Amino acid sequence: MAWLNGILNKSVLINLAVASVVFALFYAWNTRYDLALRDVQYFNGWTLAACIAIMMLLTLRKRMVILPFGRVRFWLLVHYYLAILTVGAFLVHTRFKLPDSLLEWVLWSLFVLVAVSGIFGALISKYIPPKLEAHGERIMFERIPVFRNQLAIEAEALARESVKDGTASIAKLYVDVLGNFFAGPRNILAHLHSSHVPLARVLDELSSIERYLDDAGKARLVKMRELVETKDNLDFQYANAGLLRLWPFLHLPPTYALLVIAVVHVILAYAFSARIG
Amino acid sequence: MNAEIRDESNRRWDEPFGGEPLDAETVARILAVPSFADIRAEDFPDRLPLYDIIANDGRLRSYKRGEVVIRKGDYGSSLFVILEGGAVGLASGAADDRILHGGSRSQKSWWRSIKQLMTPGKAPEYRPPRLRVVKDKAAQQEEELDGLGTVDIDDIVANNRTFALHEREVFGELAALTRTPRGASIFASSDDTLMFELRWQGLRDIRNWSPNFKQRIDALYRERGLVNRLRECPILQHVDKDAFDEIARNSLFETYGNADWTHRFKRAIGEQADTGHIIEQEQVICEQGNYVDGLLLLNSGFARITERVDHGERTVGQLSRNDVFALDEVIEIIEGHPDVTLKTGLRAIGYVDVIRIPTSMIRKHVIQGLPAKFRRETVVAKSDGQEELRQGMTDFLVDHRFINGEKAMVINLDRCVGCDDCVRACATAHHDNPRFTRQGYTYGSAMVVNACMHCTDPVCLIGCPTGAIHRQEGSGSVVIDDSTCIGCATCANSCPYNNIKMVDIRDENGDYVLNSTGHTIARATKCDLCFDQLTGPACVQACPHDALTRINIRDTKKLLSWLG
Repeated sequence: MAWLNGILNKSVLINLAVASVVFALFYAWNTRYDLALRDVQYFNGWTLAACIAIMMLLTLRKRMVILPFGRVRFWLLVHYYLAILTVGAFLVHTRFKLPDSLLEWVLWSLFVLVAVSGIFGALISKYIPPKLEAHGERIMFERIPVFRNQLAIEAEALARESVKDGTASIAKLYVDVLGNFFAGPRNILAHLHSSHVPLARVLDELSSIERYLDDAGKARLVKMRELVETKDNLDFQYANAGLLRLWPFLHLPPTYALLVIAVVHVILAYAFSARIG
Repeated sequence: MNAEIRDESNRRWDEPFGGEPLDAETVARILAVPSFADIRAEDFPDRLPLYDIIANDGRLRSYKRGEVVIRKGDYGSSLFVILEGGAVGLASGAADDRILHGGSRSQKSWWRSIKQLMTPGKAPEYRPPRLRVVKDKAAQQEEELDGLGTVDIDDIVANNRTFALHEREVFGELAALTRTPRGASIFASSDDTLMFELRWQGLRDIRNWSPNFKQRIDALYRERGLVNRLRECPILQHVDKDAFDEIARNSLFETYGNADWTHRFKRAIGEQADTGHIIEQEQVICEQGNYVDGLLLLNSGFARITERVDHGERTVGQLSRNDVFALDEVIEIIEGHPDVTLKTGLRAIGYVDVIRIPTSMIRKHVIQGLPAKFRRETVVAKSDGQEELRQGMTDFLVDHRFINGEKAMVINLDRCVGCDDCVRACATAHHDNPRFTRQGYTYGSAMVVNACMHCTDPVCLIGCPTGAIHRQEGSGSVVIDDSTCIGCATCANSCPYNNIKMVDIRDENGDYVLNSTGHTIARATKCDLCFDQLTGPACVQACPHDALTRINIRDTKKLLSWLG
């Protein structure tokens, strides 16, 4: 959990403390309204809406990057800490209960999805870059298919070359195992939890044919082993960098859906309520 | 359609320095000034007549008393000749920080920035028709000529050590020739002071083709340059004026390395992935164990301090402008240890200019009053834990010559999630044309990105035939004037780091713009540090994870601290 220690540094703890104080103030205010028999759902509902609106400014800031409104880094931090308040405001607004109608279930589910995907994104943004860095050469995500194709061509050429020399073992292994291994991204889940088992399995297969080879064949086997290891690193990069690319798609579309349903919710809330206070 | 609009190929003098070429009478008047009088027009080739250089690369400027002509510290790229009136120079001290340290004056307004964001994207590398650009340029030039401000000249003369410049005298040649900041501020000393300003490409061409002019300017450069350089040197700050003159008389100018180092370096760095062989190309200035022959002051360029280890040489540090070498050894000799030899070696990284100050001069004028911080200064980091990191990092930065970078783009791979928000921000700031790709050489978690580093010594400027690539006055950022770039690719080939890209320009329909021979028209493009944006570099603004910075690579302490 060294990465968690990296995340929880002094400034993060201070910011968390500030966020907690702000939430406590909100909660006290909400309780005061409640005790005064006012309809607190409007108060905490609009607080929730305001928090979401301010969090949405991050997207706007990113689009207006040439205007001097502060660095995106600052806005991301605001987004993070406001997210904590928003979750708190949401729990208060839902009275810590599950919804009881279809629309509210949709709204509740979307909020949970947005919140969970957001937390997941924030954590992997901290956790994956050092993991990629520690694993070897960092490769641009867009170029991975190009390198993978190059490796596949080299591996096939090596297998064909061995056939010309009258050695069948490497070519057979290529047909049975390696051809498929080089054909595309493999072992994505294993790479996401940094498992070396799939690589070890392929390397074992390579080692098992070494006894049948002459010196030239063994030299080819060494080369093939290097190609396998390089391909494994590409798969590792693809899996982890791919996850970093994928998670915004779990966060942003539900966010926009949440906004639409929230507007419907507000309209319905005003249409069907007899507001007190 | 107007022919001027149709032909989008830029030519050398499409845009005269003063908007319009100078008339024949003015050119004749300038050629009568002593500094220009012995230039022979017949020495110049037909494609580059002396008359046209003066007429197109020069302009007349009028100043009122107290008006700032140049500011100390600005990156100037022109030479001035006083035609009428006079001027006062201030080499040290600041008369008025507000005036003498003005910020960038070419930023976009809020309105223009918002307009840029709202304007839908056009074709990649779209360029508006020339006529419109020329109009914009004229407006910009008018704004530039508004002046740098005014000072109270009597107050400056009364309270500072100043020097006077008279009619027909020349100044500004040093910064223009060496691509370095102005060494002094100059103010007009009388109303209706008239000056002739020659931009650097004109100065360079006249210097190249006229041996007499070259001799005169170089003599001026040596005379003023040496004393100015000595004055700038931190270890000579306590030395009095008379001593400076004596030190200057006794010092030697020496040059090492190859002026054309870029191409050799690019070949060598591409030869093999490992960079251990790069050091072998660097000329030895001093060898470890050699006799100590005075103090070396780096005038320009970079040098590598080395220490012999077994059969190779270890980099223990690097020196740049105004740094000194062998001070400890010279002090030991002066203190009575005549057998002391150099404890480290020195090699020229690329092309290096050094000033050798004899030990006797150090003994006579420098050693007394020398602040303690300069004595026994150790270059090698002693902390065991960090030495290995610094050694590897030092090798990486020096071997790749990234130490030239003033504003290098460095990405911390430990924090970078690869979202490419930096590239998108760059595209936003440059009309959908990103000026870098997120790739480069890496060491540990540091990636030095293939983006213009705005070098201390921007060698890309040297060969530009039109002066399109230049240092921006004030900030010193290296920028390309798209309206004078002729697409010759000299700068792109000269950049040792391959950070300048050539692009083919397009019209509003996305079609390539062709010249009269039917060929596409190229322009040089690179990172301009978003010099015209309100925010500064958009890439830095956009990074959500603080994974990207623009940094002076020689500030290794800051770099390592940022990398964490």
